[in-house]
Amino acid sequence: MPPSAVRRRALIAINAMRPLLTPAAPAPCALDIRDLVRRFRRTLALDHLSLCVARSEIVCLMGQSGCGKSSLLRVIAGVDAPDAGQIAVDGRIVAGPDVFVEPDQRGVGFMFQDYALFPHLTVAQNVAFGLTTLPRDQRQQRVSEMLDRIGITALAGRHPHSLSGGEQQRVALARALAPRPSVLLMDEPFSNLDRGLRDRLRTDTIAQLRALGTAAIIVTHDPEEALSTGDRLAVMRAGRIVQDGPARSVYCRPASPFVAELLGSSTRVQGICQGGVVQTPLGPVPRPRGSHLCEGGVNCPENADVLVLIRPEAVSVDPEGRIEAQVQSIAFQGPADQLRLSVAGLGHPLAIYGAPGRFAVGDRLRLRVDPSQVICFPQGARE
Amino acid sequence: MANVTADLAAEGFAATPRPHVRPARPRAGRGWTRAAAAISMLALLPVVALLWQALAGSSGLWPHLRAHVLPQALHDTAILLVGVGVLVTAIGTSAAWLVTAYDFPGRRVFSWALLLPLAMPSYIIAYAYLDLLHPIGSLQTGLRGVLGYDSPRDFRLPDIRSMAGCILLLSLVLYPYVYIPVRALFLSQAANLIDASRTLGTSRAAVFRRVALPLARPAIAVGASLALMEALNDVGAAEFLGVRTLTVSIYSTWVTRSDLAGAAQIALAMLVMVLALILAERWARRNVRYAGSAMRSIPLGPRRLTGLAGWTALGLVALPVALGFAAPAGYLVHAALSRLGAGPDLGALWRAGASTVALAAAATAATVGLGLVVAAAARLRPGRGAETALRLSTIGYAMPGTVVALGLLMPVAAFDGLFDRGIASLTGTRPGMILLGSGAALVLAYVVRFLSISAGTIEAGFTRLPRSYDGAARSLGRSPTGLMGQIHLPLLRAPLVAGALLVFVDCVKELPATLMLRPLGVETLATQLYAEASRGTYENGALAALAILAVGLLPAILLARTGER
Repeated sequence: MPPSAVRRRALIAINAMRPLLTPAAPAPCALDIRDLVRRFRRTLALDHLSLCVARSEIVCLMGQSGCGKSSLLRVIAGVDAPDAGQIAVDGRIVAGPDVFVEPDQRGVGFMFQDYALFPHLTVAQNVAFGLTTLPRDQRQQRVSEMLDRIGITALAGRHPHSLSGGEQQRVALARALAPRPSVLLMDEPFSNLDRGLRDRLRTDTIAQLRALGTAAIIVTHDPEEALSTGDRLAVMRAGRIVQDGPARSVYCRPASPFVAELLGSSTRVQGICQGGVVQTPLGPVPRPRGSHLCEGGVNCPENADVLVLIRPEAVSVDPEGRIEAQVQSIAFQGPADQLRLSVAGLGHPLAIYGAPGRFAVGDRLRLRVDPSQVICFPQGARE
Repeated sequence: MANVTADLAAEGFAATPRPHVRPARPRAGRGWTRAAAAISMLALLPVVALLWQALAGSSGLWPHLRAHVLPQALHDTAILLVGVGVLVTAIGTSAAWLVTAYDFPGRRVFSWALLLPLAMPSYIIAYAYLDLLHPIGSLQTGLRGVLGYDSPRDFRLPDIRSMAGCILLLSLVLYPYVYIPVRALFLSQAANLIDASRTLGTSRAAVFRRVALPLARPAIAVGASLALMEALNDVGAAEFLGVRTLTVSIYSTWVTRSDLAGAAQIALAMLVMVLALILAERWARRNVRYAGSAMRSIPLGPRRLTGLAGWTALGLVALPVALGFAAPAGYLVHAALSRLGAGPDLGALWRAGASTVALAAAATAATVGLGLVVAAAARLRPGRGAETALRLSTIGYAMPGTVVALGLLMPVAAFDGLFDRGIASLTGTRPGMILLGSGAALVLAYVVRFLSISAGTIEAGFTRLPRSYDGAARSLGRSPTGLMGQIHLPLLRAPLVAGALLVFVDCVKELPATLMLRPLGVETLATQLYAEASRGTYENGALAALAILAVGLLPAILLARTGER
């Protein structure tokens, strides 16, 4: 038998066995999105977007408004249909070339920014709304279990309009989690809450997701929330995920100036490669980590222009420092003062943090830059 | 072996190739779109039949119509529409603002009394004022007595039989179409925005101009377009007041010249005007979407007006009620009382009342049900198909009753004939005119005419339900129909009731289509009144007119109570 025929037979055999093989090798992704495209009249809301959310993983999806975050959630939930691409939930394809599973059959939970609590139903009825497949007694049991778990048993008989914002958020969470979805999509779930309440509810919500082992995508436009929430941070821009990874590495090693500036403030400085280091108005930045260009210093061709981003925390006040600066303005921010300094050779002020109350406008300081926290990009890098 | 594995990976297990074929589309909810499409076809039936009639007809009268009838009719209709449009917007919007933003003696009473003219059909108010304001009638005679004049030659009020009179009288009964949606909007939406603008240092009077009026724009557009379509539909008032509108021309071309093709041709000319009106309404509502927020809406706190200001406000809101309802109704009561003394035939009145209610109730149920399907399709499966169906299904309201009846007569008669012959050949018995004879044809005409009221009201109700409700219900396991039944319907109760009441009132008041399509020997209140009025026996018609008012008042009162909640 020629080798090609052997190969073909093996292929056929394995293909035939594939349905049997699949359960043995569990799908690594609770949610697997490939090459998803969604077009609106002129704009490409989703531009060949791919993303895998592992079981029990919490992914924070960050982007500016209009970048396609909400479109992505709607397409995943099945409220909207993609123009191309494929979505699989727990290994089952729910949207693809020949498949469209209706949202009511997907097992994907959705929590809306406005919570979308049904105003004509009580809290208990809202929570029970998604439990259609359970028999009546189990439904009651599940509702009281959920209410108890989220700590809103006392609200069971109330109507949504009589609840505070925080209570509404909890009810929405209980309702979305009650049917035990394998994936929960949350569209800016904390943005309508006061700050203190927001932090507490965020912690509680994450704890509930962990306890139930629910994979989740949490959409936010708040950098602080994006960095502190979840296992992984995906930054979205113009319908694509431009960077994806643990929050710490995305923050410290942003893939583009856009990502860097989206996640935290920084001061832009012009630099030039000379002798394996980057020369800047703030002095040489030797072998700074954090980007493909400067990593190891090898990739710094002589006389190449470099865009250097300096985060406030990368600069410290040090009498031994080589950089001279003068305080232009001070903004009190609670734990620290934000200082804007004028530095010789730098056209615009440099922002740094200082101990509160220690400095005054007009003070002359000496600064030191921690090169490990400096971010470099080749000049003209894709923004 | 390694080679085989690599090939397996390449051919079988590798990531699926970039799918450039469009993925499968959602199927759920397609039934709604199809039903909506079918309903819109039903609404289009009279237009298609008219087109057929107009194209097939080869009457020699068309050159005459085009030279002598059409220019005059277009001119008069345009003036009438502009006048009524301005006046109903002014009366409806300012009355809605007065009773919402201010508190003055009688505010609560007048906030619902302003709905009363809704019960007054244009042909009744025209008849009433013609007799009331007759130069040698008791009112003008009394006025002359007070002022010290002797004869109508020395002093008389401006003739009501004029374009100005027609505009005034139509506006007096049509302004509630603007008042109702605008007031509902002020009550539900305005408070937060108005409070916000007040805190920005805007005076309450300036708030009206800078916030409330722009906010009310879509509601005004809806209301004014409904009122204008009513004005276009009117036959009785315009005919009586000597204004030769397009509708009157159609009616007289058809009735006096028996020229169906000519009438159909004028009707088509009018449909162009109607199309312009619809486009204007869409334009006025552009870029507006209300999604009720999850936050509670705080009712607007009305400001107390005392002294002269209070009485002025009272006078302002009392005026449209007095002129549009109290005066003509008072006249009718007076005329009816003088007629009652002569021993009227109450049996005929009862029969007419019963058939009116039965026809109107059947038509209301059908209209609201079909309107719900059309509006729901646009919500559940947004897209060009459902949107088109929604627009097409509203075309009937723009067609005067005469035109709808004209358009339905031919297909309905054709169906009846086929049905009759078919049954006769099968069973040997002749069922007769099944649609025309049972009143189903008339109910169909009502449905076609008033579908836009129910569909429009329900659609407006939908825009106040956040779309996130739909997404939440779907992701919690509901099919589109489940979403409809468990979320939309309970939350749409108010618009459904409002739509049903408006449709019911209009069915009771409808005259021209009822005249044409009612089963043989069946009289409704409106046709009875019309018969008496054309004989010139006003007093005899007054009882039927009062009965129409009473039937029309009931929904108006319920509407007022729904508004108060």
